[in-house]
Formats: sequence, C-alpha cells, structure tokens
Amino acid sequence: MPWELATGDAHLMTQYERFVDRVTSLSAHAAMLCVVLMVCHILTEIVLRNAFSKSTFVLEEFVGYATAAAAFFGLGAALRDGELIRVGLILEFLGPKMRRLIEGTCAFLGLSTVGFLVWFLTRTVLRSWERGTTSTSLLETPLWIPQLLVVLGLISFGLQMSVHLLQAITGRLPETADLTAQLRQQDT
Amino acid sequence: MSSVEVAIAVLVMLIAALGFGVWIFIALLLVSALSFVFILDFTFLKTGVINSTIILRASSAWELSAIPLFVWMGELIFRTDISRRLFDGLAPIANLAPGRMLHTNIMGCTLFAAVCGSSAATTATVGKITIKELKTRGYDESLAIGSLAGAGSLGLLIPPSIVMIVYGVLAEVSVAKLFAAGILPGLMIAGLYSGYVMLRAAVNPEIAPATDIKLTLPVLAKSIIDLLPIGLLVFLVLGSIYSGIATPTEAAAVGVFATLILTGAQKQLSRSVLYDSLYGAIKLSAVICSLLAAAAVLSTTMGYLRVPQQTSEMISRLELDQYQLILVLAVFYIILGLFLDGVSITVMSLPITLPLIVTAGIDPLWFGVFLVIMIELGQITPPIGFNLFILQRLTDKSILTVAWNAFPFFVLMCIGAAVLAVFPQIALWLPELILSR
Repeated sequence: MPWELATGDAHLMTQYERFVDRVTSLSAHAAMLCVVLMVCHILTEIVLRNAFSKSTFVLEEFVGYATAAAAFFGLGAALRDGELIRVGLILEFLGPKMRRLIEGTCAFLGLSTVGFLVWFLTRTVLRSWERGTTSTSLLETPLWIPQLLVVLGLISFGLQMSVHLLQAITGRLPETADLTAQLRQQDT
Repeated sequence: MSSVEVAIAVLVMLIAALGFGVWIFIALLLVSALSFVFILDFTFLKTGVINSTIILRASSAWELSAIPLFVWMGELIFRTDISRRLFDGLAPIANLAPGRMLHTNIMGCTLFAAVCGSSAATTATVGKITIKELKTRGYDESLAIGSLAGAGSLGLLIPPSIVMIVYGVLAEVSVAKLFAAGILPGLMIAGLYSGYVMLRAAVNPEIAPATDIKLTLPVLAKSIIDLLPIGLLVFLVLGSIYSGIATPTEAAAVGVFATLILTGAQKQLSRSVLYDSLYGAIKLSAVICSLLAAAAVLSTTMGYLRVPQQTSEMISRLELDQYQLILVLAVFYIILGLFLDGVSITVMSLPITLPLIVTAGIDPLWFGVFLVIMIELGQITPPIGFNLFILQRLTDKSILTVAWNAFPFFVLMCIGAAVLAVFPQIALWLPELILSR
C-alpha cells in the first residue's frame, strides 16, 4: 500500500537526517578543536620566542593547516543553523511553493559544486599519498594529512547540503533563520 | 567573445546566482567553474585541478587564523557583563558634555571596537544596554538609535578589524600598518558624530534630559574600575602588536587568552559560555574563510579571462583624475553595500579595483582604509544593512525608521570619507610614525 511505503520512506529519511546531524556536530567539534590547538600553538610560540629566543619553526605551517581544516569542518554547522551568507531578498517575497523550488535548486547547485570539489580534492589527496609528497618545511609533513582534513570537512558540508535538498523537496525546511542567526552571520 | 562581453557574461551569471539566493561562497565557485568550462573551453579535469589547488592554498594561509581567533574573542566578550560595565563607566563622564549620555553610544562603540573585530558585534554589545537606558531616561530616541548605528559601524575602522585582515591578505598590505592607519580616521569620524550630537543638544537641550549624576572623585574611581577590563584588553592586543612581541595574527591569540583569563577572574567563564562562544566562532569563521577561498578561485578565473586588465584599461582610457576615480569607486561601493556584506564586497571587488587604484598611483594602504569606510556605509543603508537589522531587533522599529535615524550619521561618514580623500595623511601618518623602522 502506498501510504505504508511513504511512512517507511519518511522514517528512513529522519534516520538519515539524524545521522547527518550527528556528523555535522562531530565536524563542528573538530573545527573547535582546531581553533583551540591554534591558540595553544601560537601562545607557545610567543613565549618561546620572547622568553627563550627559540621557535617551534612550524607555526605558520601548522596554524595554516588548522585554519583550513577549521574553515571546512565548520561549514556544515553554519549551513545547518542558517548562518551561511546569501542574498535572501527574493526568497523572502516568495510564496511557500516557489520558495521550496528555489531552495531546492540552490541546494542542488550547492551539492553539485561540493561534489565536483570533493571529487578533485580526493584525487589530489590520493596523489599526495601515492607519491609521498611532503611539505618543504623542517617537519616534512606528508601533505595528504592536511588535505584529507579539508576533504572530510567538505564531505560533511555536502551531507548537510543533501539534507537541505531533501527538506526542500519534502517541504520540511525550517523557517528562515531569525535575526539572532543573522546577527552572527554578517558579523564582519 | 570580446573581453567586454566576457566580463558582462560573468557579471550576469554572478548576479543571477546571488539574486537567486545561492549561498555566496557556492555562487563564486559555480560561476568560476562555469566560466572555465564554457568561456575558456578548459576541460573538466583541468578546471577541477586548478580549483582544488587554489582552494587548498588559499584556505591554509596562516594569516587567516586571526579571523577565527578575533571572532572567538568577540563572542566571549559578548557573553559577559562588559557592556553593562562600559555604560556604567562611561555615563558619568559623558554626562559632562552637551548631549550627555548619548555620547555613551559613541565612546562605548569606539572603545569596544578596539577589542572586537566586527561592527555587528559592537553594535549588538553596546546597544543591548544603551538603547534601554537612554529610553528610560527620556532621551531623544531617533538620535539614540542613529548614533548607535553610526558609531557601531565604526568598529571596522578601529583595530582589530576582520575586514582589514581580509583586505591585507588579498591586497598584500601589512595588516599591522592597516590597523595603525585606521585609528585616526576612526577617531575623526567618532569626533564628527560627537560634534553633531553636541550641536543638536545645544539647539534643543530637551533631547538629552539632565540627570543628577555628578562626577565626584568616588564616581570617577568607580568609572575607572568599570573601564579597566576593556582598557586592559585594548592595551594587551594593540600593545602586543606594536611592541613587536606578536604579529597581528598572533595578537589574536593573545587577545583570546587575555579574555579567557579576565572572564575567568570575574567568574563569568562557565562551561556553556566557553562552548557557545567557540561554537559561534567556528561557524562564522567558516563562513568568512570559505568565502575567501572561493574568492581566490574567482579571482584566478577573472585573471584567465583578462577581466581586471581590460577593465583597468577601459577605465584608464576615461582619463579620470584621482579624485574622479575615487568618486566613481565610492559610488560603486555604496551601491554594492546596499545588498552585500563587507567581506563579500571586499573579496569580489578587489580583483578589479586593486589594479585600478595601483595604476592610478593611489597608495593601497590608504585605499584599504577608504574601502573600510565604504563598507561601513553599507552597514547602515537599507535594504541589506546588517547593523540596521541588529538595531531593528533591539528597538522593535521598522527598518526604514532605523535607517532614517541613521541617515545623518551616514552623511557624516561620507564627509569623513571626503576629508580622508583630500587629506590622505590622516590615514598614512600613524603607520609611518609607528612602523617606519
């Protein structure tokens, strides 16, 4: 019977959404960890340099990796909370049906773009792995490690984007983010 | 296709994607990929390799680390009682001048901006106390709202400033110099605001009713104690940069550390404050950093399309003198500012405008300060002005009312920009003095 199938689908879908929600939170925590590590490393470097005239020598390299990783690990959470910036002018004036259509199209375009990037970035990671490419610093970090972090962040963002698409199709999009969210998103 | 047609095609794609509501960071990537494939006839493979290489490189620029850190610092301060202390400390001092406590908005925002990288956070933090206090004391509401809108957006000009870091990274201008260059123009515009408020109060004293607060010695002592935490933070962040202990990027970490210690000492650092501030910070910095990475891709695409060169050549054929060029750019940025936020404006426009101003012989350091003022104007112009949104939420008034109240301050800021264009030394003098070594 069709309705049974429908409830089955809905059940599967909420399960998927719950899974993605967990991935997004996990990924946000990874971003938070990156930021905390960044602070610790910079403070250590400042103390070492000013008090002992020494250096960890890898500050710029490590902080750079952490910045990139934090940026992409945090994207999913920003999308989930409606804080990823966009020009929402037209969306606000549309009826619910048109809004769903446009939100869906946006999410589809987003998903394609992210998919395109993930595909090619994965290729880069695999190459770095196969060839054993390392950074030119003292530490000779294998480059696939920081690159992989960016890819993982993007994948989690893509998953969150797929949920956005699903919600647009089934018409269960959360209301447009309120001003509290906007307050942060344009916080420049 | 001729180069002009190419430029128009790219622009149309971009406007369509943005207007449609595609997330800005996605829109930039999408438009560059489409331009690579359809205009430049690159293969999918080549496009993908170029894009992923640039994204990796652009997002791991270590100067960007200042963004999550300054944002975190602002988020932490926002969750403490620092705005209450700021008002209590400033009110007796501001009370001395005509216009009285209206100056708490201007002085408070200027001070707060010196520990916070963002103008929206400045407006929200200062406004959550002053709007209520000024209203209960019977101050003129339109002037209270307007002065907060104007002074709140000054936050971008006074270091530390996220937009300046973004500009510094993109234009390869020293962030320490940019920070120094913003200070005097920021104070000048704050001075213009205060002057305007005093003038209004002199004409009509009713707008700022008298209060019984007297500035006696104990009151002054309490003021100083209230202002001490924020003063300490300003001193530590700016001091660590200009004493040479830390680079501007590292100063962000010093600021975070000092804020944590300070809030901890005041027993305001609960686990939820720590967690929420960090969670808020990573989201916002993800938004900004991803935008920067996407903009790097778009800017490369435009380079391949030769859009910047062609546009500069076209504009240079117009033979504008420097002032005319600045005026054209000002109008261009004010129009962009109607619809977009500061970081988006900066990353999207610089590939085109930077070559222009360099060819015209304008100092990129000066232009950075000018650009920030233009962005500040955009923060208080409808329909999209983010400080207006915050004020709207704080005051429950319509966006048009708030914008109208902010209008005199918009004009004052335009005057400030004009003065800066005529006397560029206002911006350039301090960085030369401090960093000429």
